[in-house]
Amino acid sequence: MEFQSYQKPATLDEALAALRTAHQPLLLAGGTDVLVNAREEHRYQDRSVIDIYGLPELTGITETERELIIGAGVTHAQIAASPLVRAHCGVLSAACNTVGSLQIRNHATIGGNIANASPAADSLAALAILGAEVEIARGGQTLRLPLSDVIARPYRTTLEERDLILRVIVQKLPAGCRYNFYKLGRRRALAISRMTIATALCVDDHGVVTFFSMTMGATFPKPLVFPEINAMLTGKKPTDEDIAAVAKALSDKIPEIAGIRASTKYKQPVCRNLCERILKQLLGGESHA
Amino acid sequence: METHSIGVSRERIDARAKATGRAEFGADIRLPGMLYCKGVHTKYAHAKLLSVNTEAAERAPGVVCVVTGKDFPGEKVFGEIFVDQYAMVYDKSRFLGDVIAVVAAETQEQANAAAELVTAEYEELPVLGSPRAAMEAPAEICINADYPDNICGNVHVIKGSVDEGEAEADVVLHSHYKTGFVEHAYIEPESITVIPSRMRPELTVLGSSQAPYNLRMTLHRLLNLPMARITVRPSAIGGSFGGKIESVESIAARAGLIALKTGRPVQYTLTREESILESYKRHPIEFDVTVGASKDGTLKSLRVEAIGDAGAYINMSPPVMYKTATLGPGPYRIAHVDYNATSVLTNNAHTGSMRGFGTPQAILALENTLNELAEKLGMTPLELRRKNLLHNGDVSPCGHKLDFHEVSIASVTEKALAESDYERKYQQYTEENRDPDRRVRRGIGLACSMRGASIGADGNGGDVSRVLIEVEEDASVHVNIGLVEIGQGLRTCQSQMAAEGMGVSFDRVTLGETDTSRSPFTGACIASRGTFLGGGAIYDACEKVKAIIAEGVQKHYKKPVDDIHFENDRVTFADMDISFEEAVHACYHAALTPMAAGTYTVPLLDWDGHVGEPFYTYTYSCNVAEVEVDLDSGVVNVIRMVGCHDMGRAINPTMVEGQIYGGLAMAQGMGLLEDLGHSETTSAFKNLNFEDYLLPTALDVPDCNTALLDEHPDPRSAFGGRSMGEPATEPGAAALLCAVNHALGRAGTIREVPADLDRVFHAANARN
Amino acid sequence: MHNITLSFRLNGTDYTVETSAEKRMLDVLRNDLGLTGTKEGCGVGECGACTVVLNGEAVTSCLVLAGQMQGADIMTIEGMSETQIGSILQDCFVEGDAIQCGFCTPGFIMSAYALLLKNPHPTREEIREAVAGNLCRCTGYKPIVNAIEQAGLRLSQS
Repeated sequence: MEFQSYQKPATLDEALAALRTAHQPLLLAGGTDVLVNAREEHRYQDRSVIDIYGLPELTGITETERELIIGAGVTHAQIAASPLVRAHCGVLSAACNTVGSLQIRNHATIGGNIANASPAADSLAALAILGAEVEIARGGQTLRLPLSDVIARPYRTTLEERDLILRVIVQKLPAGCRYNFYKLGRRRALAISRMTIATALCVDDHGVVTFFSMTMGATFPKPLVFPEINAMLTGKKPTDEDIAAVAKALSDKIPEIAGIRASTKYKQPVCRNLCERILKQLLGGESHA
Repeated sequence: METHSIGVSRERIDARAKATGRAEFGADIRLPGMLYCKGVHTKYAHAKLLSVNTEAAERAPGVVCVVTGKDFPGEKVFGEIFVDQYAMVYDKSRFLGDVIAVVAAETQEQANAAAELVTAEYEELPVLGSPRAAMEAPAEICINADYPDNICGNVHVIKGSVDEGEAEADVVLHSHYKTGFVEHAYIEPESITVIPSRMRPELTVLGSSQAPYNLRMTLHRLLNLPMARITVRPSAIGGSFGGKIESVESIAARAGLIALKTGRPVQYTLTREESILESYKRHPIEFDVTVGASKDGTLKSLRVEAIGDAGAYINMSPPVMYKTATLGPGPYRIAHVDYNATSVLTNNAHTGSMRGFGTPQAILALENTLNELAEKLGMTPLELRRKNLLHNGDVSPCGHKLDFHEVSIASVTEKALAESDYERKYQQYTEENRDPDRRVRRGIGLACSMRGASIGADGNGGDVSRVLIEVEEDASVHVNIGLVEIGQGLRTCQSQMAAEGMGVSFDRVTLGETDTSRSPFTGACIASRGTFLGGGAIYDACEKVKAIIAEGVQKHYKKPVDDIHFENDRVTFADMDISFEEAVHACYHAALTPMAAGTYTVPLLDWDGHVGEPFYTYTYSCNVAEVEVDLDSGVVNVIRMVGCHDMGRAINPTMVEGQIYGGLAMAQGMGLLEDLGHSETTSAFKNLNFEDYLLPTALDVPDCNTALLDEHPDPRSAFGGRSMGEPATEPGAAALLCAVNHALGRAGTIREVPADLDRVFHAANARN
Repeated sequence: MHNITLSFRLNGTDYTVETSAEKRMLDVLRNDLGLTGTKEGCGVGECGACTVVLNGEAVTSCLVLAGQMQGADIMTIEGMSETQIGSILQDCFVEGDAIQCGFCTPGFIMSAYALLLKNPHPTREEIREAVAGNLCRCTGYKPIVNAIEQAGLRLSQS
């Protein structure tokens, strides 16, 4: 790839120092998106590459009582394999396991995925229903912003030129939560998603929903959750009509938010069908990826 | 006949080198002083090229030379049958893959950077983005002035009278099918290296060439070199499927021109995007099909109007249309046939040889139409086929009396049905699918085909193969043949046939690397002719060499050799039983040369242009496909495919199975996935790399696919075998679409491939 | 040119290479080191022909920048014959007719090698998952899955 300069700091402090002074810095983590983009005409020729792949401070997954804290440099494969993530945020393991190919998952990082802001990124819908926040180093400070404030629109973030994503924080799902991550692609591996659907749902012993969150990825310009839709099942023993209403409400968001496009006549009804099917499966006790 | 070296699953002779990374593919070649190339593509699919400005590029760092189409010292156009292709255009562009200039530099990066400095002036012409647009265009907007109506090929099979047949029929059904562009998608992008001689104008060409003699002809034509001064030695070739012929010749001509100008070795490797942009594709074809049958299902008539998109160059369109028209009617008894196949020039990517050569499309149209007919007659698809499949002694739909070999299509079909449990599943799925609450439905489909071996009557008399076999002093057998290895295992198969023909052990045979200066002209490894024609030539050469050795033996041992017999490395004659080495020593001792060129020519076929014997012999195939269709999303999941084929004798059964597995996967891509994202407005493809042009992955292709052989050695083939490359893939997409339509509840629900998410979803829901 | 000096372990041998930081790992292997067994099929991480094993994980070397080789432990097809798993895989690919044109073969063997390193007895489903990022246009995959399964069995016997 073409660039103005290249440096590979050994520590986070070195990286932040480089970031402060570099001319038009470009952070490179795994680089799986950057190297593909670099094939297009001289896209990065004026940029100063700071290669943060493997920085020890950005690795590792830890937990607090309510949260999982995932280093920005953690790969999709590591997230998919992490016992912590599986135990508390299974929907995210499932999502990370559907990204590209194993070779990509082994090298592409969660921080890079957010910074690239591809609307088709498989992790985003799962992160959205987990209330993901992004911890950012900005001007000597550490900020914590909701994911939906960091991603502005396809391939654009609100990150500033010298920001560095440190960590991604997700809320643990309540114990016993059922989840589903559905990826609709044209083929079963190496597929760019037409749509993803991430769902998490808890039901008490009486069949009453105590927690519900569901949204789609590869559909909206940025990751979104809809509190009013999530509220539609909470506190209820959902009937078929309730389920149908949720499916309709979610699928109606497609034209409402993304506008009517050529793909809408496919995506909207399919979304409705699949949401209904997934909810029926989850309420029937099936929890799987 | 007892055989020793054929019918045996020998390990491939090149597998070890490929498993270790040692095998040298085109782009692996490294030579001192080598230059690297970058082509500049036209900006417009159809435009007059007013000027090309290369000055800035010539001055760029590292650039050694820049060439344009005007620089070819010889002719400006090439082509094997129709001479209309440009390695570099200089007058006008005809499709977006046309190259207007090539930059050669010390490094690839320098060549890439300089190529951006080449500019051109154009005068845009209307883009003819579809055959319909091209046929309706006024005469002044043609793509090739020799073809003012843009029609560049037509084959019309006429047997009996379809009007009569339709009048006799109780049911006449009309349908319409359509297929899209399909990319060969060999995993190795094209790469050519040209090495100039330091002594005189002479070139050696290495790299990915499926047809080295065609390439030599093209360089001869464009570079004005005698053929004797052009040596083509293909490297290991990373897949081809018919695809590394004409577009590779373009690359070689550009690189050859630069090599002659600079005196330096030149390497020209395409990126994947360039490969998809420049290379020819499988023809998109639209079919209007009319079938007539009596109430009991007896086929009476078949009338087909097929229009194929030839793209910007004629390339192989007329012979492709020949196979569409002669093999499109399938392996059925049909008294009255009128099959009219026409190819039309457009500004789209040109279309040419691709595995199947016009048949996967035609089989898809016919087999799905037959299912529509069966439904109308109240029969099952299988009942209709059982009633009409060809048997020994029948006359083929094109008029060929099949009394010279086992017409095994019925047994091939029954074998595939039994393996896939077709009848039970057909019934079960049909019943299940009546339940409207069942949102994921299953379907099963079958498709039958017969494939003419080799080129056929449109190349009558000219279908020749040649080989040179020499037995060295140590009795090792050196075989030089110009039919290339493209991954199909041909050279292993040829080694086996040569061992069998010479009566020696397999290990005694060495296949020389393909080299046009060592092997006699033999045409291309195309048209499923490698095993069949190559085998014929090898047999002939073996007979000649053995006769020479026999003469030596007679002189040396002074005994009669009328009954001489070569088998298992032993030579027996009179009361003698000597080793093959001893026989060879005797031959050399007698000052004889145990070397011979073998030739095989397909006998002349009785074909009047419309009816008769379109091919010399046939391979019979049946594929069964089983799918699961999600009505709620349009997702199609292939459960299993079974391919059963009679290729005569399997020279190497494991390799034949390998062809079948690969063919099924390729058919799955065509049937369900692969789409270049073509625009009829701009003629552009949206999907130029593998992130968008989707091949089936290991998770998409069912793990339980099955390959079956139904062998009946062919008396018309020297070693009993016919080639399998194309039959392996031709009925697969048809079977898949039949299965999808079965799952959707009605034959002919979808009439266009790929049957992808959107198409299946909309078809499923339009009906409900 | 942005010169960079890289030290890494490749196929069990330590290397120090001066090259350009603009290169991809694939270019360093093929052009600087002349190890052309690793192939380029697409340049965008979609075909898997350039798969190598980086610190124990299969990656597409067309999407790894040269600088990321620093300090790494890298295995390529050229090193496979020297490893037990690699040589068994090579035998099984050859004997099982898992190779046709052979262009994708090095990438498949490297994906399979990474799999067997972690999971010496994979199921067929696990094998298919592990090679789903490698495209093959010739074999229809089944003979490849067979070969890797067979290699797993042989490993357990050895």
